[in-house]
Amino acid sequence: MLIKVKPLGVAKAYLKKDLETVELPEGAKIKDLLDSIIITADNADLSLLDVATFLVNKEPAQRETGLQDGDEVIIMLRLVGG
Amino acid sequence: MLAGYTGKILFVNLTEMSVTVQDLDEDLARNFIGGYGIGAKILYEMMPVGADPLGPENILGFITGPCTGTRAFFGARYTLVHKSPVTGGWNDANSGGYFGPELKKAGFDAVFISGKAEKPVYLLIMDGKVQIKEATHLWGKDTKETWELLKTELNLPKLRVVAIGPAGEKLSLMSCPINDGHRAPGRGGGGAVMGSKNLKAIAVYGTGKITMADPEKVTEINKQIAANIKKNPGAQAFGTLGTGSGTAVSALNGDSPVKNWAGVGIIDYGEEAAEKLGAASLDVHKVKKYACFNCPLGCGAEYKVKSGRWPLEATERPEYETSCSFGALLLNSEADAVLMCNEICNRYGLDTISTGATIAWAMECYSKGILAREELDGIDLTWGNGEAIVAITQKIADQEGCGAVLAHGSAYAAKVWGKGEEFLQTASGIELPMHDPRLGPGLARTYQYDPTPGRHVKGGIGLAQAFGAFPDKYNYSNTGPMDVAATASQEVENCAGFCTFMMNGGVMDAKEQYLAAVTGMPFSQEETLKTGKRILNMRHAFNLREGFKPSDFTISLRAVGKPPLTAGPLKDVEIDVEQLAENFFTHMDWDTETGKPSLESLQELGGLEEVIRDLYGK
Repeated sequence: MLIKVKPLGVAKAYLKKDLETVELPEGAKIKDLLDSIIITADNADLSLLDVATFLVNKEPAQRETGLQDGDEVIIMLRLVGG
Repeated sequence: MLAGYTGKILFVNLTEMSVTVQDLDEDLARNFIGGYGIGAKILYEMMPVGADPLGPENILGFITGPCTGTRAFFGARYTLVHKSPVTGGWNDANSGGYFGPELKKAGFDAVFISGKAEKPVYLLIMDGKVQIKEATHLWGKDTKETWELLKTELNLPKLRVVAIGPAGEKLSLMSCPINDGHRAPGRGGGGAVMGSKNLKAIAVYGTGKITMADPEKVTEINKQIAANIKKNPGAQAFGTLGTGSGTAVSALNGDSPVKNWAGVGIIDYGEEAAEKLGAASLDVHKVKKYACFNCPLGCGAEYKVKSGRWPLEATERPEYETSCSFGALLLNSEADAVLMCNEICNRYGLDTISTGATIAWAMECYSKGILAREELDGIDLTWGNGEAIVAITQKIADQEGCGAVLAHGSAYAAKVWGKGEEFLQTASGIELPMHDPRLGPGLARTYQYDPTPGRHVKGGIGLAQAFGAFPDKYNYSNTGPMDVAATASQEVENCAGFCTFMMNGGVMDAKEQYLAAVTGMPFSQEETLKTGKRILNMRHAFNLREGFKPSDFTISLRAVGKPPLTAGPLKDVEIDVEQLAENFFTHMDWDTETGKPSLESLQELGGLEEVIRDLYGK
């Protein structure tokens, strides 16, 4: 199935560039999506991704939330402002 | 004396036009660290109960911390303290930039000002020498003009100045002093308190050195923090894009309130609007980076707006709170309007949070027909109308027409006009800041019940819940221990002179390590808990002595999800702030009805003899 991915703000720094859609097997969850798009590097601190906010079709979602073909997933990091 | 401190406190009485220098008592420093810790202790001792916040008896303090102006990263802050003309209770607000470090280089840890001058004056503090100088020629000038005029007439290009603008002179309850042209202890009406004393500015210049007990250790901690920042994209974003690096996302993930706290960012505001106010969009105007004293991040930037409706030869990157309060809170995505409002507020000396939030209140009243267009001097204050937002901000700054009422905040306007109270978004009368308790529910307790209500830089579990992995954050049982510990930790961090963005350094006990290395006094995390609780009790006692009890502290219902939002990331969230408060009060050993701390807890903390005397007659 095809999932639309929209990382916002700083989340882009952690994820593969120029992502628009990702193909995932049926039954995949948000955590599977993340595993497939995270940039892994030896010195990367991925702790901020542990506390990311996810919206599926603009509704709140969790890492365990299941995905359907055509879903749009927004990924945002929670960054404290001033 | 402990290292890190200058060991001198300045007391100025503007009625008597007198200046007194006292040695900083070492026990006072050990027990209350600096900032509002020392400030609360001194104001409690010196200010009469029931003092008029805008009268000569109110005392205004500018207080550094032991780490302010040292080589310890993030140590740029000073704190402004006074009784608030907004809430009628305790007030503190802090600011970065270079004023605090310069005050210490000029020889003083703190300045306390009482009385009222017969005509406008400013204080000149240079290498231990203090003069009260006439400021009639500066009255009416904005904060940037004042700074430039003083640098020129004193022939001191490196002079640092904190000044009020016309808003403070006219006693606007949203007014604040501004230092370095754009840094502000913004909240609680400090500008009006300065104005009420006819005190236009404090100018400081110093060449003194600030000692550190263990400079090598400070360097070692600095290196660790610098290394951590390098591998943390979030911290680097702060450095490159400033606090506004999170603005766009915050409008969508539920962090920053939308449409006077009634909207849902992802629906009512939208991604396109949010991105327009994101730091990356605003930074097309960037000229160069700006950092506070000795900050490894440098979240500021100087801007030049070359063209458009409001060209600005020189201005500054708006901070997160400003971009939110003049942005998503108003459904405004016109970046140039935000930049212009930021500039007006900085020049006139206005708190951007309260100003934006007051406009949000007026917008909602206008949209619902409660305020008519003629009552707003013909301004079409529809949601998102940038022209109207700038126009009304200018009216507030000038206190012209409707601005003469709105300049004192939304609660004041609702009272004077006799309508719109149901749309106020305030805590004890002051407008709420731009982090939503519905995302970090502990913020509701902090905003409502901290002795300085409505502040995002006060401690508690809220911000950690909003930005951390707390899957069970809407469970309200047993939050007391963690809430108290987090609050105490923030008390110490603030009072030591640190910026909250120290959290980006990735060293959990950085403040304890720095405090020990700078002052030479061992400082454990256990000591943080005890000292933080002592400081918190001192601020709390100030309010109790003024007659406040817990039920006097209020918060608007939208902020706690009553009623809950029906869509978006915060859908169905309703906060049990009463339970959060009970947990916190119980763990502080404060009576939930009267707010009175137990005798045993005060005695155990130590250093609170006056509080024990007043509450228990002992």
